[in-house]
Amino acid sequence: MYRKSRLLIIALTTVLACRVVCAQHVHPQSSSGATAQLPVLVDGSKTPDQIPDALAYQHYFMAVAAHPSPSAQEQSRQDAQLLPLQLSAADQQALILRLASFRTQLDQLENNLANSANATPAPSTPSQLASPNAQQAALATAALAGLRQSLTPDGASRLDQYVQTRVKAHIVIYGTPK
Amino acid sequence: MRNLIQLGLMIAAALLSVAPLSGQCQMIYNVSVYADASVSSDLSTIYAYSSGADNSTTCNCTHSNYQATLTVYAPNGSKVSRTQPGMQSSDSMATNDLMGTYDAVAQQALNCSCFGQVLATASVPARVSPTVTIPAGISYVLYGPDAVGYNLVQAIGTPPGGQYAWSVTPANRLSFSNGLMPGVAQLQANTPSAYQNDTVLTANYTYSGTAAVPATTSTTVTVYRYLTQGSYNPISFSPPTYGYFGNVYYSVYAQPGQLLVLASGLSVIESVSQTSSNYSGAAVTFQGNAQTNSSGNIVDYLAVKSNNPLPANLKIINDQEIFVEGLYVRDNTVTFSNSTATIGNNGPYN
Repeated sequence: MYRKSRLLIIALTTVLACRVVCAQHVHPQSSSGATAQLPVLVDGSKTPDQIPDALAYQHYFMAVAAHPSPSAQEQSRQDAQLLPLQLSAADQQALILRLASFRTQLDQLENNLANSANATPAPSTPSQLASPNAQQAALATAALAGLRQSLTPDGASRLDQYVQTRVKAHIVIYGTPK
Repeated sequence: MRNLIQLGLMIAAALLSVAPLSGQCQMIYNVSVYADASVSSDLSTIYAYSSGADNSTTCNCTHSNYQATLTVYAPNGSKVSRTQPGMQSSDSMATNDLMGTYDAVAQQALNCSCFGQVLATASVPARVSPTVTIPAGISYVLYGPDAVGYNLVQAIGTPPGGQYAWSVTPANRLSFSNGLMPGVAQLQANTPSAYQNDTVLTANYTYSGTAAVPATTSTTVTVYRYLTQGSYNPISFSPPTYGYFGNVYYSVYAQPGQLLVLASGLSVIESVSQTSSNYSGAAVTFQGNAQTNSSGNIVDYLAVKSNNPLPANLKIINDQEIFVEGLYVRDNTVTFSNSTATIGNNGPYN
């Protein structure tokens, strides 16, 4: 009787303690300070439809956008990146211009973030982290809206086709399983 | 013993009464990585690039020290790697004409104040292989020996310096000989097409043992079949010479497709024989050009020349045959009167 009761208490206590702690932190399989790989939530190569459009465009714009006066290396990289889209000259120019504007805004955002990080050694609240990400996403959304105005229907279609089929297939989302 | 049980139950009750922290805030990771690679049009450089996004809900934890690392592995095992602060990275590698599959591996790292360094990775293979195109194609291949060099087709392989090989379907339709430049083939038509674009030329290109996806183009092997004729508007000689002269222009057509041949320099031969004549005091001249002119026309000079006025009832009849590149394309009955020549077309008509 005594033994059973003690086991019951220990089990109950463990379950309840775990309920509190585990619910708070569903985290990568590592102890604090170690390097951990997050579990894959969505593998775009397998389920591209589960990659949100906005996220795919954000990633693509961040990877492709060059500065308004790009270096030779940056220019060559962007030329190679845009090659598969097979855009008309006018559409390609419109895309490059819009992405240059996006790059400028993105740099500004990152500079602000860096300055703010220097002023305060580490972000202390969730909102400080969420804000730059949200702003990046907002910049991408605005760039996409602008592009849909400036590209021809054919150009917009080619860009979207590329993002849907190529970009999404090369995105992996990691995180906390639901 | 009883006290111990009571103590345990009290602890359990206390824990149950605590609102789960999950109700307040739950740490939810959401980090995405995009990795991709592109090859320059001349295949000299492979560009790899990545971007990351952190849409995590961090609760009381903080994320910082973002680093994006990109590594490109070549088929021969060599690699380049670059780490940049933030959420983007790019790097490039000269291919040095090394064909094959490269791999780009992107790693997005961040420091979580609660759980330490967290990594998210993505990788992408990038195939670098030679390419070949037939930029202009050849809409028709003229039947015959092609001494002028009209039947040329060019493929362009990238990177340059590889080996070209041509093939055709159906196989007996034509044969290839090397042109003056790599990638240029001169076509010798063996049999004419049955219908338009029924012949497929394929250019294969291999560089450093790696084959490009072949390029194809459709064409028609045409045969010179018939001529169409312009009007004859003669000019009179001035006395003391009598008679008239002028040019007749012919256009060359090939089949199938009733193709107007615009090729200059095609050989033209005409054969003329007199059928009848009621006047012996005049000389009749047929002088066709030996080759099609710059517009692709045959120009035939016809004249009747005499030292005396031509009789009113003049009637000289000739039979004329015309050949292009050795192929019979026209038979005429040419009747000269005292003021003009009438050309009767005996075919072929198409």
